[in-house]
Formats: sequence, structure tokens, C-alpha cells
Amino acid sequence: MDKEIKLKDINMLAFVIQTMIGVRLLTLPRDLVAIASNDAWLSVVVAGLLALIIGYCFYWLGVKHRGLNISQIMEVVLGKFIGKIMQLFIFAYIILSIGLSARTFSDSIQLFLLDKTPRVLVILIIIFTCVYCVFKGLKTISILLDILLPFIIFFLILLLLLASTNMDIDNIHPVLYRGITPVLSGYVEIVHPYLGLGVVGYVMPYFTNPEKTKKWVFTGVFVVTLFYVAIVLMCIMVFGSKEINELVHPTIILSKTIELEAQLFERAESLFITAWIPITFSTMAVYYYASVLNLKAFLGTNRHNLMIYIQIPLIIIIALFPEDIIKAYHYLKINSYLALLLSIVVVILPFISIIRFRKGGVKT
Amino acid sequence: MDSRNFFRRKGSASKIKIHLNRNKSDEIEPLSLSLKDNLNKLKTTFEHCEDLVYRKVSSKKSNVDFLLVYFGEMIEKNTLNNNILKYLIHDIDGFSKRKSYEYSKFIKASLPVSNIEEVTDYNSIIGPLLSGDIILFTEDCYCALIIPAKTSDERSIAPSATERTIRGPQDAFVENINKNIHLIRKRIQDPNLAVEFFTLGHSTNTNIALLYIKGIAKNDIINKIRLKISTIDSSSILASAQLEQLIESHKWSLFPQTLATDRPDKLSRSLLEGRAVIIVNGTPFALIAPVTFAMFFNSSDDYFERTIVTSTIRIVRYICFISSIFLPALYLAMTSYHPGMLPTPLALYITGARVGLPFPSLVELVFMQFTTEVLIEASVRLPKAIGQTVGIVGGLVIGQSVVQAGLVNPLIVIVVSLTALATFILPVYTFALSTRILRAIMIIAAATFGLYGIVIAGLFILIHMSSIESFGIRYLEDFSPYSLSKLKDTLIKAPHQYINRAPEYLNEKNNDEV
Repeated sequence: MDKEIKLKDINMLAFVIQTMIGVRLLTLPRDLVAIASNDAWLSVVVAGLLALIIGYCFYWLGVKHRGLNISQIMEVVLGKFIGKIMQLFIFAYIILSIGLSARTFSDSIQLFLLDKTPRVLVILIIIFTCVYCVFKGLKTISILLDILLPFIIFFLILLLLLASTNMDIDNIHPVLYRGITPVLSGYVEIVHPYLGLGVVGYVMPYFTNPEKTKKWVFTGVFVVTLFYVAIVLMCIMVFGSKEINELVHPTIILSKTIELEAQLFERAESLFITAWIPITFSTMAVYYYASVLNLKAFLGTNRHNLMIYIQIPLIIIIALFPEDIIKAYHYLKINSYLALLLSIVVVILPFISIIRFRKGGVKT
Repeated sequence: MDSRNFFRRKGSASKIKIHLNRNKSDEIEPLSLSLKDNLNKLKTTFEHCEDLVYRKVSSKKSNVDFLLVYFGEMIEKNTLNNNILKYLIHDIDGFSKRKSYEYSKFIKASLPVSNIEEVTDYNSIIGPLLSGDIILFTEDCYCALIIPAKTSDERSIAPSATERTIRGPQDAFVENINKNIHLIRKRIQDPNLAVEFFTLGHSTNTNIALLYIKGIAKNDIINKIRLKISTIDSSSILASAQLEQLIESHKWSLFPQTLATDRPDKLSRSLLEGRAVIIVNGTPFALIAPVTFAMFFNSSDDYFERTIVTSTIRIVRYICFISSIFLPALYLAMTSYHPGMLPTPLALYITGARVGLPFPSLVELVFMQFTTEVLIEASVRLPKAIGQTVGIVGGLVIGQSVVQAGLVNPLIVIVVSLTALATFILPVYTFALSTRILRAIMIIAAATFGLYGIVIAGLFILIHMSSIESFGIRYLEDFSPYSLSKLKDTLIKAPHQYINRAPEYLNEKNNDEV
């Protein structure tokens, strides 16, 4: 049903940025600082560089195997059996991501906006919004992302600008005093949101000129890295690496430190958590769409709507399964390793593809 | 269509209609040679039409009998008396030199009336007869003549009452389709301006014209519209609003997918942008299709004022649209769910004002919103003189006394009236109407889930808006995919030399790019 959809190369920008910036950004600074201390921002820089490589791999595979999404490419390149296993991994990764996003998101909503509303309702509402969006197809998603992007960027810049009144540069000193190892191990934390880049592998077949999207994939990764670095850096500079460990949602608390001469908003964090609803939603919707395509490839079926519906109960169960926030973070950790595995596969995939299809060209 | 073909079509609507009528009843029923047979046949067809006039006359000089049939109240008496009867009875001579089957051709050439049609089929005279033409039968001749003689008792061209401009042209469409086409053609003197006629409605036989500019408008879009119009199967089309509902693809959407206007300048601009215009006989409001969301924020005056001023006003309109939907809901969410978000003095003031009020904020808000809707509806329909009274009663008396009676918090009066004002700034009335429903949806969402509900409801509306399309063009095409050239006449308005070209997605030449 979506075969006739044609996207323009510039649509890629919104896809990349909005899938990579999600609800994870709310808690990420704390998890990063726990590992890399005040060098956490360097982890993000490293992750950004690696994301460029991963992004290029997705792009390269998409162009080489024109018309196929990454799940189908894995089957073509790795063979049917390993391909199916990889698709299962992708399925687990995506569905865990959506479920846990919904979960951590509902936790934040309960904390900052609706303290009495049951969590189930919050989760159900955001999931059904996603279902409605995915149901309407990829073109709708791309238009929606394009509309939301300026607002999201505006809010992130506002957050950074307002928080910058409170920063203390001394907090990031000394740089690299525990060596390079913590910086690199911090990558495990950030690989999960950064694998949102995988959306490139799923939407690529729908672009009129896949070759032209390279520019926008890189721009997207660059912008996202810029925001991640800026927010992590800002959190460290405002709170210091000790205090940040006590905060669950450092990014949102960042807005709490805002001191304005004119008191427009008493509780700015409520405002920013509101801005985070579309951010979370857009990530979840795109993941959901990718999952539908992945499932279609895995089960070898063309029933688009059925694939949407059968995931609803799974996602709800995953979202409600963790007993508390600590358990939720435990599962998030598992998901991060899954993401790490998938990233490694994606990076070596082009080499296998080159070796396998050196002669005779690619059959698509 | 080449230009010659196109000028032929320009002639009159009735030609095409006859053609279509003939299509409708496939079998051809030849006319009788005898006047009496034809008369009897007509009398059975029009058994209940006592206003149909059958008039027998005969030529004084040649002694040939004629039968004239027409609806007495629909024809121009002058034409009948001076240009038809006088000639038939007194002036025309020379029947004796001709064979009887040449009579009709001879009369057609002799009568000083333009656009006379010659037909041999009984079924094809019914349509023109009903639309106000005179049918002329001649004894011993198998041809009948259709003589156009409709009265022109339509109102004359006047300024638009619904969309006023300050510096723009002051003419507007009237009910007559031919006059309206004339107003467009006067502005676009281009042989590529195509006019296609359709006749729709089994009982109303309404003339409909589809206008577009060949070479600018995309063929796909025009074909889609043409297909939609020609497959309509409805017994009556009285106004363009009915046609609008019949051709749009998302019938349950809150957002209009065609733009109705009676301003010929606006319509001409749309034509030049590559859109199609549909004119319905009997309605001064023509439809523009396809439309995008951004078009509902453009007023005709935008094109007659200075760039920076216009751009600012456009942005104000967008802000007003957003606040007209969200303002009451935000107030409700802030006061009942997140009072902490308000600045302390304001929160204290609201609390202070609410002391002693019997109802919760939601009831107050719904009550005031309802009152405003009633006032707006009342003032739209009432005659002008009473309309002002409604304003005074509503604005002053109710607004003032509701607060004094302790029914409603004064802040709610401010919120509700600000919202109403914000809707009035939207240039298209149909579009402004949909904000009322959107506002109600938002109030419900805010009452149940506070800010979270508002954002989710907003997302739902946004998803819906991204998903609908008008004749193959997405509703939000102007904002996605990003392109600087699209901004020139949407969020802002660039100076005229920059917006001379049609939008990319409507342009025939950019077909492969979209």
C-alpha cells in the first residue's frame, strides 16, 4: 500500500533527528555521568562520530540494495537463516524500545504533569496515538515529523538558553582525568537512542532519490549530536557530576534551575515535559512503523494493518511489566546491549555484502 | 484543447447541455412532420405545466404554419415580439421557393437572433425548453429550432459581502454562471484558459463549469476533478456547497477540502497558480480545488498591501488560529490540573476570584462558550439593525451581569471573548467554523487529561491534517517537505516578483519532481 509513496530527500532530516531524540534524553545525562563522570559529554562526541559511520552503513546498504529495507537486506546478505534471526533481534529491540519508552515516558508524565491519573491510561493513550499515526501511512508520518521538527528544535534551544544562565564551567574540569576507558564504555548507554538512526534503513526504499539523502543523514546526525552534547554538557555544568547522580530526570530538572527576571512560568519543568510529549511520540511512531516493516519481512506477509494491531498488546505488556523505575532501567540496559549488537552487525554488513556480491552484481 | 475548439465552447452552456441530454436518454426519437403530432407529444410530456405556452402562428406572406413553445415567465418578451414573431408573421418571404425540409435552415439564417440551434430529436428539445429557450416547429419540417431568449433578470455585479477588501477590486460573483465566467475571462485573457461544462442533477439540470489553465494546471489533478464531477449521481444540485460535499474525499473531516469564494480576483489568482475553479450556476460562490491548509490564512487584501505588513498579519492569523483552538483548553488545564505553572500572583488572583463561585471551571467555561456560540449564530442570521442589538445584549449585558451575579469568573469571560475575537480574524468563514468544534474537542481533552490531553488531542488533529488530501495534494503540502519557495506565499508573503511562479507541486512542468 505504501509502494507509491515518494519522499523527497529533505524528508530524511526530520526522520533522523526525531527518531534519535526521544524520551531517553530525559534520563541519559545521569546514566552517562554514572559511567563517565564529568567526561560524559566526550562519550557523546565519540558516539556521534560512530553514528556517522553507522549512518553511512545504513545509507550505503540502502543505495546498494535499492528498494529493500534493512530487514530484507539482512536476509539477502546474511542468508535466510541468520537473516531471520537478525530480524527477530530487531523485533525484540524495537518492541522493547517502544514499550520501555512508553513506560519511562509515563513515569515522567506522572511525576511532572498528572500525578493522580493511572499509568495504564497514559500508556494506552500514547500507544493509540502511535497506532493511529502508523495506520495513516508513511507520507503522513513524514509530514507530521516535518511540522513537529521546528517546534522541537525551538524547545531544545530554549531549554539550553535558559539553563545557560546557571552554568559553571569549572564543573567539567579536569578533562579525561580517569583516562579514555570510561568515555568509551559510556557509549553503551547512548547506543540505544543513537540506533534510532536505523530508521534510515527502513524509509530509504520510499525516497525518489536515495543517493541524495546522504547529506541529510549526516546533517541529522550532526544536529542530534550537537544537541546531545549540549544537553549533557549543560547538565554537568549546571549540576556537577556528583549532584547529577541524585537526579532521575536531569534534563527536565535543568529547566527548574531557570531563573527569570519576569516570572512567566512558575514551574518550567511542566512546560518542558509537555514539549517532550511530541518528542516521545514521534520517536515511538517511527519505531512502530519500522517494526511493522520488520515484522512483514520476518513473517513474509503483506498484511500491513494486521502487523500494526498484533503489536499493541505486546507493547502494552512490556510497558506495564517492570515493577518500578529501577526494573525498567534494568530492561533498558538489556536493550542497550541488543542495540550494540545490532550496530556492530550493521557496520560489518557492508563488508559481507561486498564480499558476497563482488561478482555478478546485486539481485534485488 | 486548441484555441478554435475552445472558442466554440465559449458560446453558451446550452449547447453542451443538449449534447449531454442526448447522452442521457440514448435512444433518438425523431420529431414528427406534423405540427399537431408534436403538439400532442409535448402536451403529454408537460401535462402538469400550465405555464407552458403553445403558440400557433402562420406567415402572412407564404402561408406556412409555425408552433412556438416556451415558458412564458422565463423568456425575454422583447426578443419574442420584435425578433421572432414580427419576422415570422410579416417579414420573412421566400418559403415558396424552398422545399419544406429547408424551411428551418432558412429561418435560422433569417431571424435576427444569435446562437439558434437546429435539432431533429425530440428528447434534445426538453432541456433547452426547461432552461428558458423558445422552441420553434415548422409545418412539414422535421427540424425544430432552439432559439435562446432567456430573460436576464439576475442582480447586477456588486461588491462581495462576505470577503471585503480595502484596496482590492470591488466586483464579486453573481448567481449567473455566464456572467461569472465573463468576470474571470476579463482578468485572464489567455486562450489556454479552459472552460468545460457539465450538467448535473436529474431534476435541477444545473450547469457547472470547470475552469483551469492548460499548461499550468497539472493534468492528473484536473482529471481527478473531472472524474469526480462526472461520476456524481445526484437528483439535485442547488448550490456549490452541495457539489463541494459530493466531490471531496474526506467527508467526515472538519477541514474543508475546497475553498469557496465569490471574489473573481482570488479565483483568477488560484487559476494562475495551477488550481481549478468550479462554478455552479445559481451560486455566487465558486470552488477552488485543490486547496492546502495555508490557503485558508490568505485574504485577498494580502496581495494589495505591503509585504512586511502582510507577512506580519499572516503570522498573527496563524497565532490566532492556534489560540482560538487552544486558549480555553489551556486555561482549564492550567487552573484545574497544573496551577503550579501559573505565576504566583495570577494563581492567587484566580483563586481569589473563584472564592464563592458555585460551579467548577469546566462548567463556567462550557456555559460561556455556549453563550458565545449562541450570540455569534444569532448575529449572523439577524437583519443588520437587530444584529447590533444582539452585540450589545450579549457583550455588555450578559458579560457584565454574569460576572456580577457570581456565576462566572471574570477571567473566563476574558478567555472566551479573546477566543471569539481570534476566530473572527480568520479570513475564510467555513474554516473559522471548524475551529469551534476543534475548540470543543480540546476542552474535553483538557478536562480529562490536562496538558497531556491537550497535546495528545493536538497530535491527533495534526495526524489527521497530515493524512487528508485534496485531489491528490496533501493538506499540509506547503510545510512538508521543506522548501524555501513554499514559504513565499504561506507563512509570510514575499514581494510580488518572487511569487510569480506557481507552486512546485501544482506545476505541470515539475511533474516528475514531486
